[in-house]
Amino acid sequence: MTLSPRTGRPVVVIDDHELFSTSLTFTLCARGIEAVALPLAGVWDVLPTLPIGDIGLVVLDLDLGEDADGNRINGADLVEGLRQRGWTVLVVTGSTDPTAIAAAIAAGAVGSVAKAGSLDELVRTVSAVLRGEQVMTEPERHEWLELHRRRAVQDHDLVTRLSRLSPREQEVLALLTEGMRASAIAMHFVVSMPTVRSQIRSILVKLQVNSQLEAVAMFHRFSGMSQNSVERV
Amino acid sequence: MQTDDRGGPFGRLDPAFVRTLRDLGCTAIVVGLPALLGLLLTDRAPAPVLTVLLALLAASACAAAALLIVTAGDARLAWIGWALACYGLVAVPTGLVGAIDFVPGPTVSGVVLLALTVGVGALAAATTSVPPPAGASVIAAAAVAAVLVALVVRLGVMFPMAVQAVTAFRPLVFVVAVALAGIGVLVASRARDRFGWMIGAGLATVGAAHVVMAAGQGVPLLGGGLIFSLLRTAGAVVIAVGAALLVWGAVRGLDDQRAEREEELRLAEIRLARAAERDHELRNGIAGLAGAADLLGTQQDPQSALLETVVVSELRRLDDLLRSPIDVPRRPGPAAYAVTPVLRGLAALRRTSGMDIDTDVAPDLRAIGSPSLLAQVITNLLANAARHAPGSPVLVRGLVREGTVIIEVSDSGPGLPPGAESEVFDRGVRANSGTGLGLGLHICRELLADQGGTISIGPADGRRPGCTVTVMLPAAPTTVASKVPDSVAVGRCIA
Repeated sequence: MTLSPRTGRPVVVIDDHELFSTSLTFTLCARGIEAVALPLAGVWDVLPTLPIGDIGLVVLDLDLGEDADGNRINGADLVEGLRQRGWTVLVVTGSTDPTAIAAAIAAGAVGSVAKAGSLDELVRTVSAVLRGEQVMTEPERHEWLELHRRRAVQDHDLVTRLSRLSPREQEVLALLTEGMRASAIAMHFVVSMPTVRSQIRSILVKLQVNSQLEAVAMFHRFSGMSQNSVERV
Repeated sequence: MQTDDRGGPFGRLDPAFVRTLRDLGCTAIVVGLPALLGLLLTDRAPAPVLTVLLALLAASACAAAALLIVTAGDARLAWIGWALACYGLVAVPTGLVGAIDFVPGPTVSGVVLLALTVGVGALAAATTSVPPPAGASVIAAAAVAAVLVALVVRLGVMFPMAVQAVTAFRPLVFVVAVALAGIGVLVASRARDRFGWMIGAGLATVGAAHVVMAAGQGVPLLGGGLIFSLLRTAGAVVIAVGAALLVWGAVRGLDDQRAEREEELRLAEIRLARAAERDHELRNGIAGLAGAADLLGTQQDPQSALLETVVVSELRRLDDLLRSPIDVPRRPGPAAYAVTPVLRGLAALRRTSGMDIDTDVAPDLRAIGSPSLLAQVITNLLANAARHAPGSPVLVRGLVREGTVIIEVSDSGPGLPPGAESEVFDRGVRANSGTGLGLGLHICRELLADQGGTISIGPADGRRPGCTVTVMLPAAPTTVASKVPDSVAVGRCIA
């Protein structure tokens, strides 16, 4: 059954999407590559459970859903911890937003593969990584790092603006981003409609935007930001 | 009004009545102050200057009010606006011109009378449901008014005697003045808000001024211009204040409308974004299903049964995704998750680091809660087994019975000393102290309890050595549990 020599370096697929992780491990096993699926959403605390050493390859999904508190988990945040424990990390993403990929590459991932591509392509890349081949050229890597640097500047600006909001204003903005009406927010906080209106106006002024739409887009981008970049600011 | 029990002088009165009293007081002050001021000033300031100033004030206030009301979009208010425009833009300036003695008196009186008549006509229209001129007809109406004024001026210049005969016809002037006062009262009584009420009261006051003027010709006290100009000024001020309040209210209303439109835009955008997100997720799911179908087609392996169950649960997930309303944000909460792959994955990881571990897990175990908590607990148990029973084979079993997912982790090590089965769950007892990995069993138990689960260690059994830890979780409803034989679960590769 062993088409390729057993390297003793297993592949761990960390993805909350069960079908994807199962299909991938299934295919890898069929090619004689030892593979394990960990279909987990909130994986923060599972990190320490992985053994330390030059152990193997983690195929990591960048969009790992939400943790128990409802915060979006950014796979890029896990890359560094995995690298420190000696794992090689290859990221996969179903999203078209390159920001998270750039963050993952900057954190030390060896490459990224789009989920939308074929399973065969993914398996080829995994095999190449296991053989110790480069799956990303140096100019490509450079481009990712440059993108990450640019995004870091934008993130810094975003966090600076959001930090001007009072705690209550941040709560109001979060509810606006969820799609709550101003009247519902007034009822939620047991305040009057004009109070909420003036809070919204104050939010727009502090964020230096002209419409609720822009403010909501900013908050949405913030909540998708990797934990690392939030802390760095 | 049960809610308002603050007491006070108005505590037991109807709030609407209190509001009316307050408005009356405010109006009295607004009318009284300028009147008093006028009385004081007429003695000291040159009267023509004061008259010109007050007339200019009234004219501009009326013009502003008229402009606003005409554009406010309310038919009744628009008619009042037209009346005010006639008064403020034609009658008052014409009176002013007359005061400077520039044109013959009859012409002035004629234009003023014309403006008042048209204005009163507009006010009368305000009490009906006739729509006011709008759009291009506003220009037409203004042009007709200008032609009429020019005509009267021309007539006044050509036939001063005839025009004087009409304007000096006192009953006509009197009737017009009474009509104005009556319409003012009508407007005030029908007012839907306090702005309308003030405008009506102001109109009635102006009408009353003209009535006094017309009725008091020749009477010593009433006939003078003083009472007339005081009343007229007070009326104009009340109208101006009412109109200013109306402006303020309208501006705030516009602001609110803008905020509401912006809110609709925001909600639509959020809905669109959610729909796009869902589309994206569905596309990914379909791509995954297509890949899995390929695999199922090419491989004839006992393990493809496992893939089948995953395909079915993916189809169920996509179906749920399509059924869930897009307006409601998906709230994190107790969700169903697959237990089987978590157990197999963790066991396989241990196997790669050398543990002799086997699994016997039903293929479609689903529980309610968080898979990462389960992963933490199982990781902890496997670490304990490795530490306390090194080299011993470990078996992870998983099954569902009567709505409960039962997971057993057993080793063949020395086991726990008799009686210690519950002690290890006490606070402060860390079975895996030293490495700092995982959680203490005490915390494990508390976290599991939060999700309706339990953890226990069975009593030592003389016939069977080792230690067996049992974790129980609430099972999620499942539809495909019995489809796959248990034998496929022992796969070594996709553990």
